[in-house]
Amino acid sequence: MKFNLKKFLADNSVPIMFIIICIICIPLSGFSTSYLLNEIVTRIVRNAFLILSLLIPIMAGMGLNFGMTLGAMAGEIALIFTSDWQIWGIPGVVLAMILSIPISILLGTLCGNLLNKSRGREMITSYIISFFINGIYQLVVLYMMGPIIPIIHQSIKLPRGYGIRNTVSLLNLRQSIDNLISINILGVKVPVVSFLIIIALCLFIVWFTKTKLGQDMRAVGQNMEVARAAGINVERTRVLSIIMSTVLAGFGMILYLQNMGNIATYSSHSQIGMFCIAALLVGGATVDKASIGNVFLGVILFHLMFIVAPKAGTVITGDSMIGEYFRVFISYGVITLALVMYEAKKHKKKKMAEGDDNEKQ
Amino acid sequence: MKNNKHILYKIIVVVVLVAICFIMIYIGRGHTLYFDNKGMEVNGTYYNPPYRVKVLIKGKEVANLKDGDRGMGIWIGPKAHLELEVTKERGVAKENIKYDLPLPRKYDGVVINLVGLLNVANYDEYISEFIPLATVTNSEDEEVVIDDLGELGFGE
Repeated sequence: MKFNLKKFLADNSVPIMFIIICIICIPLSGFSTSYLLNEIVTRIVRNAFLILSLLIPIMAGMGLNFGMTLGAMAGEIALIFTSDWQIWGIPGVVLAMILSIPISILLGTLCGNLLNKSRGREMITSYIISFFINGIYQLVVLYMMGPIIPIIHQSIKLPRGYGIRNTVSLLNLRQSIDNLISINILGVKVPVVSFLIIIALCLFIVWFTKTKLGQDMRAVGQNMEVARAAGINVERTRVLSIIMSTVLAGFGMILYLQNMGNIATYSSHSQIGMFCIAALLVGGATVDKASIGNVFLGVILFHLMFIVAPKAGTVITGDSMIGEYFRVFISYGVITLALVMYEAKKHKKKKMAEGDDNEKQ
Repeated sequence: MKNNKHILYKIIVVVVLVAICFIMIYIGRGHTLYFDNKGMEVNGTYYNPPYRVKVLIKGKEVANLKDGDRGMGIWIGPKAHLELEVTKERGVAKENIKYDLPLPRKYDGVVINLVGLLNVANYDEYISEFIPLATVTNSEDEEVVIDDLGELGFGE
C-alpha cells in the first residue's frame, strides 16, 4: 500500500497542528525540560482516567459523551460525604469511589434513556442534560445538604447553616494515591500507583472490547439496524455504555480531585467534559473513532499547550492574558474544527455512496 | 434459572461493596491528635511533665515538647501507634516507649495528656476531645459562586 501524505495530513490535522504550536511555544516559554516533564506527568495522572471514560460511548456510536459531567458530579457528592465523615487517606478515596457508583448508575441510566430518545443528536442532548443535572446538583448541594441530608461538620457548611461552601478541603486525601509509591526518574516524580490504575483501566477497556457486550457495542456503533437484526438489544446496549462511562467518569473525578486537594463545589465539574473532549480530539480522535493512544497523545499535547501558551504569549505580546485567551480559544476552536471536519467527511462519504448507487443503476 | 443466578451475583456484588464501605469507614477515620506535655494528677499524686518528649508517628517526629508545650499530628485509623522519646530530666538518657492507643471514634480532634499516658492514668483522664475556640465570623453569608457557562476550569 502506498503512503498517501495528503490523506495522512488530512486524517491527523489536529494533532499535527498542536505539535506545531507546541514546537513554537516551548522554546519561547523558556521552561526547563524537567519542569515540563513533571507537569505533563502530573496532568496525565490527573486527567487520563477521565478521558478514558469517554471511549466506551464512542465505541457504542453515542459520540462524545458530554454527559460525563454527571459522573463528575456523583464523584463530588461522594467526596463531600467522605470529607464530612472524616474518612481520610486511601480509605477515603476508596469509599468515595464506592459511594459514587449508585449515584453514577442512576444518572447514567437517566442520561442513557434520554439519549435513546434523541438518536442522532446524542452529543447536544448529553451537553444539555449536563446543564439540567447541574441544576439538580445545585439544589441538592446548596439547599438539601444540611436540613435534609445530614452534614455534621460546620467547616464544610455555609455560615447560614445549610448548603456546602464554595470550596471543600480535601487536604487529608490530597495525593494519597499519588504519594503511595512514587519514584524519581531524572528529577521527574512518577506516581506509580496512579499509573497502575490508569494502565488497569486501559487493560480493562482492551479486554472489554473483546467481550460479548463489547462486541455488541461495536456492532451497535457501526450500524444500529444491522445490530438489531442480529438480535442485539440496541437500546439496552447504548444505555449500558453511558452507565459505564458515567461510573468511570465518577472514579476519574475522584482521582482528579484527590490530586488537586480541594473541591470547587459549584464549578469543578462544569467544564470537565469540555476539556476532556478537547484533549481527546487533540489526540486525533473523531466523533466515531477513538483509541487509548488518542487519549495519551491528547493529554500530552493539550496540556503541554496549556502549560506553555501563557508564558509564550507573555514573551510574544508582553501580556500574559493574551496567552490565556489563546489557549481558551484553541481549546474551543479544536472542538469546533474536529466536529466540522467530521461532518464534512460524513457528508463526502454519503455523497460518494450516492454516486456509486447512481452508477450501478 | 439464569436470571436467578444473575440476581444472586448482583446481590453478592452489592453486599461486598457495602462491606468494603464499612471497612473503609472503620479503618479510614481520621483524627487530629494534640499532645500536651502538662503536669496532671493521677490517683491523688501530682506528676510533673518530663523535661522533653518527642512524639513519633510512623517513625516521623511530629512534636518535640518541653514543659507545658502542645504538639499536633494526624492519625488515620481506630488505634494510634505512637512512639515517645522521653527525657525525664536534663542530662538523663532518653527512654523510648511505644503505645497502641485506641482513639474515640466520635472525636475529630483528640487531646492526649502525655503525663497521664506515661503515668498510667485512666483512659478518660488523659484523653479528651479537642474543641476549637469559637472564632468571630462575619455575620454575612458566604456568596456562592456558581460557574455555569463562565470561566474555564482547566485543571489548573
